[in-house]
Amino acid sequence: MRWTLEQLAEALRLLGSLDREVFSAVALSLGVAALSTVLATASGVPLGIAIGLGRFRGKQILTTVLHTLLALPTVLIGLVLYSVLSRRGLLGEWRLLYTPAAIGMGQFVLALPLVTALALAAAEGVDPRVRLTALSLGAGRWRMARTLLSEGRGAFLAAVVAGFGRVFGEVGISMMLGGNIRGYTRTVTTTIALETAKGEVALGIALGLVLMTVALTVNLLFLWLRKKPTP
Amino acid sequence: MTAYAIEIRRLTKDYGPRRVLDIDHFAVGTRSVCVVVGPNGSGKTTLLKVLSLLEPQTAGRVLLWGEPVGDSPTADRRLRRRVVMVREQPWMFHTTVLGNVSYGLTARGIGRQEARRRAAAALETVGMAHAADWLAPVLSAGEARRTALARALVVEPDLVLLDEPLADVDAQQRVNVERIIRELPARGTTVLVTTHRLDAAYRLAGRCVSLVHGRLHDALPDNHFSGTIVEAEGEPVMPIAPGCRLHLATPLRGPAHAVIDPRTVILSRTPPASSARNCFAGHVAGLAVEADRVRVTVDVGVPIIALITERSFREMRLELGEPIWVVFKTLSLDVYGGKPA
Amino acid sequence: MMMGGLALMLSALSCNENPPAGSPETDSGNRQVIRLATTTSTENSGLLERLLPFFEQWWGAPVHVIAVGTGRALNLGRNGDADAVLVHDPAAEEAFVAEGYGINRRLVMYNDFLLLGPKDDPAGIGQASGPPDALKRIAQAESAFVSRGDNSATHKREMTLWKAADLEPTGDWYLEAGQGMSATLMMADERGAYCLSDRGTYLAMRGKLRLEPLFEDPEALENPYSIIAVNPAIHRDANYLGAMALVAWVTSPEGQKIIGDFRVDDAVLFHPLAVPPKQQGDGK
Repeated sequence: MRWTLEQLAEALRLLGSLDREVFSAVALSLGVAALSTVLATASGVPLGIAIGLGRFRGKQILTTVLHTLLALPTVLIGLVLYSVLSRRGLLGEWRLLYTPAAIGMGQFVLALPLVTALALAAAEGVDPRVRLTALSLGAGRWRMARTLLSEGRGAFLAAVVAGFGRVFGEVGISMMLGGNIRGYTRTVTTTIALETAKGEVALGIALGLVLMTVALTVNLLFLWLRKKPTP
Repeated sequence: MTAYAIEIRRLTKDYGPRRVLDIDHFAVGTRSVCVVVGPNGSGKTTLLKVLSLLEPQTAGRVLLWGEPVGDSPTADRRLRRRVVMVREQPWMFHTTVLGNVSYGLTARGIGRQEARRRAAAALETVGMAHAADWLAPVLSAGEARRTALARALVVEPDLVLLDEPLADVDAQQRVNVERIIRELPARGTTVLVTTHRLDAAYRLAGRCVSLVHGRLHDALPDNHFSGTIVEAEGEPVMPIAPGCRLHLATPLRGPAHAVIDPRTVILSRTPPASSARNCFAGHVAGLAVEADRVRVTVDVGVPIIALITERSFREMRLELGEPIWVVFKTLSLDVYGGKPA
Repeated sequence: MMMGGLALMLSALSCNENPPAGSPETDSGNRQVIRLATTTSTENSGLLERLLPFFEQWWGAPVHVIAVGTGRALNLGRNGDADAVLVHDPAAEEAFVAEGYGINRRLVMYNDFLLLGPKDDPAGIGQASGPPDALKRIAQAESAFVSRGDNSATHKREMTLWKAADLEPTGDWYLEAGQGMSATLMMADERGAYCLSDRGTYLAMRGKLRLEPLFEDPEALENPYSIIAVNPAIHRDANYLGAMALVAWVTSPEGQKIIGDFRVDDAVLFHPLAVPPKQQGDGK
């Protein structure tokens, strides 16, 4: 117990002395997570709405597959993408392995099923009267989608937030596809993994605190977005 | 084109094993108001949903302005644009009142500025102009209903379907809403209204039909009298049969209709000594048992229907042909039509 | 298409995230990045952090160090995902070169392996006659032993020693961590178990460990490191010139001196092999 508290105290102390490398890691983690979340949202939300509102054969099966994808371990995604992005792999020509771009791709794959599944639930969760009312007032497909997003905005925003949270704190993909290269693909999470393996527990905790503080800030931003009235 | 805005032929609508609608033939002329009267659960809302293309019929043909519904998605889309339905509990979008009323306009491609202008005008007519910037979900039931009405009418549809438009609306606004509905045909709109209140049905003028257990009857509800209100000894009366005049409490005069709910008609063997001013002598012309009540038709020169409990019936031991008095208060009569004196 | 757009955007991101690094794509003016695959123990020792900046400044291009297990590092070389490899597994290195994936293998430095254990040395390996004897004592005493268990160079060395002692380590006392050297040491430390480690990692972590080196044999447990360039004949777009420059520099007098001068807590971690200190004029 005493040791734990000591480590915690040391961690707080270290927060004050964090250096450029840490800021660079935070910037990288944030940048890559933000970009992959944006792209996952842009693809996942429309997809989720389309499936959620759709009435077609195989919808149940598709939804089940989607939910199963939520269990994909980050290391597995990392492994599969590694074999694709490797010089010998399908997309080797693109030379993306061990770059931030590769981490972004992996995180996109991680976030997409999550955002889609939650957007699907959000679309289905919107009161059916919304759809009927909008339809009765002459809303076409695009207007309908916008209206659904607006009416269900809480749930849709939660989907985005969940997607962001998932990728911001992951380490398997960052490690496998980024390579944890100092100054280039070292994210906060891979730094934590590295330092912890080296026994630098206090530093690991300090970095963890930094990570959560950034996550908190982002979520406060989401909160502000949610409270804004509709145009 | 065609004289009928709505035409229904052999329509059935089932929800699973339950047959909710079973209408052989029903037509509503363009630019008219038609009121569908019926108790809750009679299928009124379902009828409106089918007519507004929100629900498909199980079998039968529905024609809007001569065009069949359900043939092709494109035709349906086109028809749907001409029909608006206002539900009993309208859904308010999570935006301002003005935003809600503008919805149909912007959905049809009208620019925001213009849409807001028209929406503001529509709010004015339903008496909700003061609430333009309120967030719609906080409105009371009556306010929501009026807003939904404005929302529907602002797009100037050819057919408006109103499900219980007067419920929850306070007395002051009710007059306003009824006036709006009555004036719609003049603007080229056909109106179909559902209600469970007989009095409201008559005040809206036009044609009335009744829907009971999914079946439509063209017959007018019971105890509906048409006549002219005149003054006799300084009081308004409406003669309905030789020697038979309805005493009314109303400022209206001239050609009008009067209705009385059969449940408020009292039967008496002896000439009643009461404050009620409407007493007529007649005889029992018909008896019909309906569940736990009995419909008694009394001929006082015109038939007046009274609805009494089965128990009362047994206790009174009414028989066909028996002389009987019919009593009801002036205040029990609803009057509509007519003009203020 | 989505992935392409993503890749494009993130490539731009890659540029911004690391000011000194140039774009991975090269033109004649800008030097291309050199990807060096090495083992976790090498990276964790801190040597590369000290050594490479000098090279980067001289050559004018960054070195991206990807630290994984030995087997994986060589695989990166085979796949063309690295331009050079720095590992310490002579048998595997020879195979790598023999298969044609690597060329110009140069011995860079060496250190040695140590057997660490709890202070009280329950198995008594302090009196062992040699590495196999030490392991035999551990097995007989059934004292806890944590192995890398990950087919790394260290692990393979350990297996060789068990074989030399004619033993197959099994039982509740033998734990396979399946992780890097630092993590394995932490585990052994937690459990008060014996462990085979390279000196470099041990010295880097000395402050955090309660384990102590109980058995040393610098000759028998010598641990040589080599650097190999990836064969451009197999991977035409590998940064061959950069890799060769790196190989040259780490085996140059300048590079070797830096290696030899590297200290952690006043202890020498690595001994230069290509240009040993005796020939530098100022002996060790």
